[in-house]
Amino acid sequence: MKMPVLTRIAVSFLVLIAFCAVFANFLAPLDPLHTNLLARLKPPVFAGGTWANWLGTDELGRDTFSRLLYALRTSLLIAAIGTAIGAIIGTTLGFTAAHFRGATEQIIMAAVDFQAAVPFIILVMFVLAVLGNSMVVFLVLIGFAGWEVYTRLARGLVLSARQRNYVMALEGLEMSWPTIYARHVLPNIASAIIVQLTLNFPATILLETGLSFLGLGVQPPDTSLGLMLGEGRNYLLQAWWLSVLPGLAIFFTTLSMSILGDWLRDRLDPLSQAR
Amino acid sequence: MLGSFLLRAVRMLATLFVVAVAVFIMMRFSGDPVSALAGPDATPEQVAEIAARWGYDRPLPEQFLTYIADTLRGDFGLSVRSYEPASAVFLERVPATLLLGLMSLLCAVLIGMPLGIIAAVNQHSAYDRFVMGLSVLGFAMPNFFLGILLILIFSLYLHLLPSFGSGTWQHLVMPVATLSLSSAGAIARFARSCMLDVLNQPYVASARARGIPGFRRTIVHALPNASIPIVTILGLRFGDLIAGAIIVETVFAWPGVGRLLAASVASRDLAVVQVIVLSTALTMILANLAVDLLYGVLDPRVRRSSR
Repeated sequence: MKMPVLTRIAVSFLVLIAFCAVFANFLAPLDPLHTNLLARLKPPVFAGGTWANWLGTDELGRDTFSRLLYALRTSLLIAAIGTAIGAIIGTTLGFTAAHFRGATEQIIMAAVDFQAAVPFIILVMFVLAVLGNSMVVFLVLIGFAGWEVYTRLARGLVLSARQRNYVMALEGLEMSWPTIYARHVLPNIASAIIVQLTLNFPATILLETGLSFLGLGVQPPDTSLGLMLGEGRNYLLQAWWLSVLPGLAIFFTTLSMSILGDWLRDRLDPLSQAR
Repeated sequence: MLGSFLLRAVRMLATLFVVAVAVFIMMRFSGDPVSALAGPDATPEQVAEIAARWGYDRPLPEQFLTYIADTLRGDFGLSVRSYEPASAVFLERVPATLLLGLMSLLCAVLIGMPLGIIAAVNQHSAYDRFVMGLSVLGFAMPNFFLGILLILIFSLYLHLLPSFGSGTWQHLVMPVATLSLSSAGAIARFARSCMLDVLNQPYVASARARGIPGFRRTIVHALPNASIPIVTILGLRFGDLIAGAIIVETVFAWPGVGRLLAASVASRDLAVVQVIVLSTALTMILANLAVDLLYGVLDPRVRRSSR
């Protein structure tokens, strides 16, 4: 597999941050929750700080580097779980619509159209207002993000797969539909869905960090990149790094993922290039 | 044309009705509204009195009808934060958001369309790659981070623009720039791919064979056909602008609906949240209807087939 330089850099960066997120508890030099009011808003090394807190400290004297690692872990974990839930729900609905056709398909596709029309963040905020915030509610809501894309995609792919000879042959052999779908159709359409996963992942990160930025997502004492940025916003004048560092982390993560997704799409799914 | 318009209008009303039902059901999920109104110290008599006054002792279908009637009259109850009618709280904020949203959409189109069209005409050139790179950057850049960077640079270091509030055109610059950037990138990308589709069609090649110059070929021959799918994406971009406005308004303390929504969700001011959700749904449905109609205007084939 020949990869352009840019894609290589993007993949290396993603591997690096995934490593940081997974091993956050080993890599963090200090306890991310340990406050030290005597060392508030210390600057990072490159802005005249010391190596004791090489990325500086926040308004409660907590170590920014350690907090960044944990925030990265939370944000990536939520985005990964959220993307997976959305893909599973959406793909299942797509299979259901394509299999049953008729009224089932009409209802599912009407829901898809509705979801595509109304901004998802509004729905999330409505449900958060009604149910109140908890990690479980938030995770489930993030999970629903982008489900309609998978439904539309899977439905189209399954409909065309059912016209193919291999599916008709299996049907003739009286293999059950669940087996045909799970063992034969799914592997055939998986590459298109994986491409969609990579393209949706950045959008999910942006949704989570955006809501956390507003204070409506991840709640303290937990932290996410968006929440860090939102808290740091109040200290822009004294401590710009508190908002810029998590912002850069979000930006480079979504950017790398988008570059990887574009590359994967061009490789695995050349037909969908025209977008 | 009229028939299909009526059909669309009916479907639109049906969608709105479904949204209203969903909102009603969700609101009832939010816990017992009576105990929320009465507070923890209320006696059983007080609870019963409050239930009777707000109609919560009626059967659910009747409550639903009352709710629909109230909604049609624009009565959504009181905001628990300001004790004013929720619809008044909402309407007060609408002009600011409309100003921000329409300016951003305009900027996004004015920037994105030419970028995308020129990129398509010069496909595979350095300029093309540059524009595509920019659009990826625009997508990956979180709007709250972009807004904060702009504040850092233009307000705190250069002291050129006010970092929050509204009133003068200077207040508008950074929110509009933040909000239009990612849309401009998406529009550029889409305009490019639509243009490429059209430019590769035989009729453009024949125009070239007839000696029609490149500029005229692009603008007069190709652009009208390419603009049809672009209009569709604008309808969808509209939703992204609404979503973006929630964050951008919060970043720049812009006194609009988005900031109101964020604040109301945080304080669980359900009456206000409900007005905003319903009106957003209505706006989006109307925007889609407008796009459908515009389709008919732009594409004579749609007009004829629907007659």
